[in-house]
This record gives sequence, structure tokens and C-alpha cells, in this order.
Amino acid sequence: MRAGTLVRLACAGTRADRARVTVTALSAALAAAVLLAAANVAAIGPLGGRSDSDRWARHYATELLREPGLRPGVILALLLLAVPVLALAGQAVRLGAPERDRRLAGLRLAGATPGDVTRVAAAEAGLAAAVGTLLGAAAYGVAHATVDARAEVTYLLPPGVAGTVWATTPSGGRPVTIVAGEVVTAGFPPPEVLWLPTDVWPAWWAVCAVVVGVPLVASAATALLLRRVAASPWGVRRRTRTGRPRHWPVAGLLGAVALFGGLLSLARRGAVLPEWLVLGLALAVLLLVVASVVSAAAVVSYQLGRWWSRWARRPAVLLAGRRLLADPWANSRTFTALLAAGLVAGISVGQRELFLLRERAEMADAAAQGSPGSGRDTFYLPSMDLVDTTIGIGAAIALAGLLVAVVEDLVTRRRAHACLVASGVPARVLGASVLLRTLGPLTPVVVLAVAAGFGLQRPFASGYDINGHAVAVPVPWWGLATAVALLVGGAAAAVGAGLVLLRRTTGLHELRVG
Amino acid sequence: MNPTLLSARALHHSYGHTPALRGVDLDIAQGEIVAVTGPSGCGKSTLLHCLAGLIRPDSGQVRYRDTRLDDRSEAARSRLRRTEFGVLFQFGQLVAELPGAENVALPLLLAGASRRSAAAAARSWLERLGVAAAADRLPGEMSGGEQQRCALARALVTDPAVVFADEPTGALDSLAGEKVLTELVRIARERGTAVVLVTHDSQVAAYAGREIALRDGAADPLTLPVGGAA
Ligand SMILES: Nc1ncnc2c1ncn2[C@@H]1O[C@H](COP(=O)(O)OP(=O)(O)OP(=O)(O)O)[C@@H](O)[C@H]1O
Ligand SMILES: [Mg+2]
Repeated sequence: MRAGTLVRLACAGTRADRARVTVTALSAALAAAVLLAAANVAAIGPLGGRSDSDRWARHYATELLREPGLRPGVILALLLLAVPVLALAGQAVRLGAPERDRRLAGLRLAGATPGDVTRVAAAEAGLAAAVGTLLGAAAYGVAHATVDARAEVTYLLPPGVAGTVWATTPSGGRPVTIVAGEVVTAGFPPPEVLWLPTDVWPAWWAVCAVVVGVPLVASAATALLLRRVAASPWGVRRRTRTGRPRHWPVAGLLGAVALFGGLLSLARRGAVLPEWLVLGLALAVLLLVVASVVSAAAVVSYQLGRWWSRWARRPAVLLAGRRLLADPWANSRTFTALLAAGLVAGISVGQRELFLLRERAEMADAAAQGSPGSGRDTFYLPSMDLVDTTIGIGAAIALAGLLVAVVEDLVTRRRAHACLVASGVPARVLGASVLLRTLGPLTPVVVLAVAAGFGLQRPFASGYDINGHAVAVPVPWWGLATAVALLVGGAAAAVGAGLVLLRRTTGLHELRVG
Repeated sequence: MNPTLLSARALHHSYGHTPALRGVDLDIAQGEIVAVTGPSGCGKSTLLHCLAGLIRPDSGQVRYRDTRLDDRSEAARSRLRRTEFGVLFQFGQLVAELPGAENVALPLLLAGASRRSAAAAARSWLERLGVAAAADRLPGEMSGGEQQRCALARALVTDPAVVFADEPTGALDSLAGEKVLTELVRIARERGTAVVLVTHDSQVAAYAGREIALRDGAADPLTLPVGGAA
């Protein structure tokens, strides 16, 4: 197929297709911005200097950027934020998929090969993502340049000293680059003024990698996802995973517990493992736990579905149960990002409790030594705020993915829904069934995810001692409950927002379309 | 003649600037089978939607027994559709994840019936319509004709006073369509159910006791009683 034909076919489409393209582009833009931010932090790089403290980037107002040891964590957090964004893009690929699939089947009838069909869809996703990425990168550049309101002045430096240093301007608190050719590390205690790394730009190769990589990944992922759809000239069959989910989660959790326990006991015995091994194993434990929580969602969906479809008396419950039974894996796919957020939230709640306890102890000590009011934690707790903000953003993006899934579902089933409403079934029954089959399985697995995260953190809180005496860290029930409530409440809000469409998708015009 | 069950007076309805109905008058007696015919775009579906309370006409009245339909709330009309009316469309009415029997049982469950009694009633209706085998199959595993008879069972299961059918055989071949229509007419006669059958096919219209021909949104003055009465 010629490239021109490919582009034209990829651009043709209906309203649902446009919605899919828009969401794909938006998530690509978001992914590009997040990845560029990571590259930006990486660009701060190692500053020159002999001693450890020389390598601190003192001109930043937050320790997260100032301390060289913390920057990799920030980069990792930003990279992790790209995960829910990508999950959202994956959801978007399914938006309006039935129409697209029908169009693809039409293409097959017109003589296209299965490969052609996949290429058209992949080209569409790639184009949309390319536009989105460029927009995202442009927006990032504009924001970067706007925030970066520095005044450049020339400054005379002693010979032999060189670099970028920072000072406040007389006009008040602005960072000032002093351009003098080479680098200085000593003698100028730079003020802590920059909240964001706007003094440096991402490396050119990183920008290139993002601009080229995001669209490539988007179209590759689409091609991969389309393998589940068999577009034959006779129509489209979507291969869904029905059937009973196995007891995967139990095995996964057990494996994770064993691995984690092994690691901990080794550490207790004072074994020194190479850092990369510890990090790798910790990551393996995390992935195992996420995988088992996600497959637990399928098991819970299946069981709930069986139960509801057997015993339900209310039509909403029956509809929800049958849906869960028909595709128990559907939920676990939509929940993945949200459950990962729940897991990290569980870890974060536990960790915050630890830091709070420490702050309280240090403030008590300070008061006892006659300087009340000091001993406040100015590093760990504010950093936890940042971590929680990141989790919140990730969860919000995951919720957007859930919203897209609900919308897709309503659009797919609009004819059957419209017929039900025409025969007198209240729309609220349909809405209730959507709410039930989402929140029903989600609530227990969110509890599981948060609990699992907390469980992973808990060993680090046992035998904790402050100034020589052991302290028991209490279980932060309130914080854990808040995390669960926020995630489940957010999911309810997302589903509710999607259900606003129910009125539109059950309109009479749906009874006319042939 | 049986008493009038459903009547329309001076119905007008337009979509934006497109007039679909311009002054339709119509009476349907209890147990009467009426075909609404006419060329494509003449307003047949719009008339059916007004009669069934799916839309409110711009002006004019729709009466069902002693009550006016056109000025009642959506919730009230929805309740009426659930209990007194049955509707049948061209295709795609069944919920894909529910087996046939549960699709049919849905209106009964909605009315508060127990699971067991609703299932029993649904099965007996499917049996009566000759599709007992569809009870445990999903719509995707049924033929088009079986699906349509399943949908007919769902329309009839609440024992409605009127069944509204909009091109119910439009997506079927003539043999399967014949089966659906024969069953519909037989059961309507048995139970004294009125039927409003919208079609553009004169062979389908022949199943009715009376034909109302629409032309440009108004009843053709030459509406004749047609054959087909028992
Ligand atoms: N949602 C709508 N918006 C605008 N015009 C509409 C709409 N629905 C129907 N119409 C117009 O109203 C007129 C009557 O439509 P209706 O569907 O009632 O015709 P019909 O007799 O059922 O046709 P067919 O036999 O093709 O189903 C037509 O001219 C149609 O174009
Ligand atoms: Mg019509």
C-alpha cells in the first residue's frame, strides 16, 4: 500500500474515531512532557568539584533537585508517571474500536490484507501520537522558557575560576546566571531560589528520543493490541479472554513474600549484596505484587460475576454479574494503573507514619533540651508531600483511563441499551449495572493493593529506634482508609462522569441506525 | 367493534425544520392488528414512537385508555412502556451477555418478580415461540430469526395490551420473517393484544387486519381494510 493511501485511510473516520485520535494525541502529549521533565532533571548532571558537598546543585530551592543522591529518585518517579499515561493511551486505542473494526473489515472486503489493516490502524495511532508529542514538546518548551525568567549579567570572576553560579538580583530574589566561561564551585554560596530546573535544558538526544520514540511506541502498541482482533472480510471477531481465571494471584503473592522475606533476612544478618542486585530484586518483588493484585481483580470479578448472575433478583445486579462473567479480565486491564497507584500509596502512607513519628520524637527531644519548636522535619515530610502529589497525578490519569473505558463500553452497547430504554427499562438501571460491575470488584482489590503496599513497607517500621530506644510504629489506619476512599471515590466519580453519556447513547436515533 | 385502546388526534412532529408528521388521526381498538405502511421517510417510525410514548409530539394528542400520553413525564411513560406496551425493533435488542431466558426474564425482574418465577415464565414463552433451545444460549450463538423470536418473547412476557413493532422482519429472510410474524399474530389473537406493525413490505402488511398508509406525514385518505382477518 502506498504511503499516501495509508495516510488517507488512517485519517478517514467518524466521531468516535476522532475521539480516539484526540485521546491518543493528548496522552502522547502528556507522556512527552513527563519524559522531557525526566530528561530535564537528568540534565542537571554531576556538577564539578572534588568533595561530595561540591556536587550539590545549591541553586535549587528543593532538596530533591539539590542533592545528587535524590535526583535519580525524581527521575524514576517521573518515568513511573509515564506508566499510567501509557495505560491511558492503551485505553484510547479501544475507544470507538467497534466502528474502526467494522471499517477494517470493510477494507478487507475491498481486498486489503490483514497486514494492511494493521498498518492502517498503527499509522493512525502513530500519526496522532506524533502530533500529540510535538504539541506536548512545544508546550513543555514554552512553559520552560516562561518560567525561566532569568536575567543574564556579566560578572567578573577571579582568574582560574569558572562556571554557572547563582545569586539574587538586587531587584529581589531572582536567579542570575553569571556567564564567564568556566565553572566555579567554591566561594559563592548560591541562593536557593530555583524550584524547577529551568536553568538547564534536556539533552538534544533525549529530546530526539522522546519525539521519535513516543509515536513509534504508540503505533507498535496498536499493532500489538490489534492482534486480538481478527478482521476477516466477514466481520470482526474480538478474541476476549473468557473462562475462569486461575489462582495466579495466590502463587504470585506467595512468591513475592518469599523473595521479600529472603531479602529481609539476608539484610538482617548483615549480608552485603551488591546494590544493583538489591534494587533488581526489590523491583521484582514490586512487579510480582502488582501482577498478583491485577490478576486478583480478574478472580474477584469472576467470583462476583458468578455469584451475582446466580442469585441476583434486581436486573442491574444480573446485568452486572453477566458482564463480569463474560469477560473477567476486562476489569483487571482497566484497573492496572489504578491498582499500581494504590500499592505505591500504601507504601507511602506507611513511610509517612515513620517520618511523622521521628519528627515528633525529635521535636520532643528539642523541647526537653530547652529549644521548643525546633526539630521540625524539613526534608523527609515535604518530600513525602511531593511523592503523594506524584501518586495523585498518576491516579488521576489512571482514572481518566477508567473514564475512557466506561465511555467505550457505553458507545459499544448503545443499540442494546437504547432498545432496553425504549421497552421501559429506566436508564438508571443500566447506570447502576455499570457502577456495580466496576466498583464491586474494584473496592476489594484496591483494599488489597493498599494493604499489600503497606505490608511491603511494614518490615522497615519494625524495630525502629529513635535515639537509642525502640519505638513501635502504629498502623496508620486513618491514612490507609483515606487512600482507599480516595481511589474508590475517584473511580466512582469517573464512572459517574462516563454515565452522563448514557442519556446520549440511549437516544432514539440509536434505534434508527442500521 | 371493541372499545378504542389507543388513539391519536392531529399529531404533528418535526425534527428541526423537517416535518415528519403533519396531522395524523388514528384509532386502534383493543386486540386490533394494524399495519402502518408507506414509502421510506414518510414518518412511520416517528408515528410509532409517538404512540409508544418514546417521544412527545410537537402538538396533538395521544390517548391510551383514559389517559393522555403526550403530557406525561418520561418516568411515567417509561413505566407504561414497561407494563402495558411491548416493543420490537429490527435487530440488536438483546443484551449480548445474557442467555435467551434471562433476556426474556428482564422485564419481569424489573417488575419485582422472583428469579425463579421470572425464569419459568421466560422459558415457557420461548417454548411457545418455538425457540426453547435459545433459553440457555447467548444472542451471539443464535440465528437472526431465533434472536428476533427471543426479542418477541421479551416483548410479550409482561402480557402487554399493545405491541409496537418497527420493521420487525427487516433484517430477516422471508422464511424467518414469516415465522416471527405468524407467531406474533397468533399470540395477539389468542390474548387479544393489539399490534401496531410498521412496515414498508406489503406482504408483511397482509398479516394485519387493517392498513394505514402514510404519505408525507399524514394518513393517506385511501386507507383500506385489508384481508387477513381470521
Ligand atoms: N433525528 C432526526 N433528525 C432529523 N430528521 C429526522 C430525524 N429522524 C427522522 N427524520 C426525518 O423525518 C422523516 C420521517 O422519518 P421516519 O424515520 O419516521 O420515516 P420512516 O417512514 O420510518 O422511514 P423508513 O421506512 O425509511 O424507516 C424523514 O424525512 C427523516 O429524514
Ligand atoms: Mg422507520
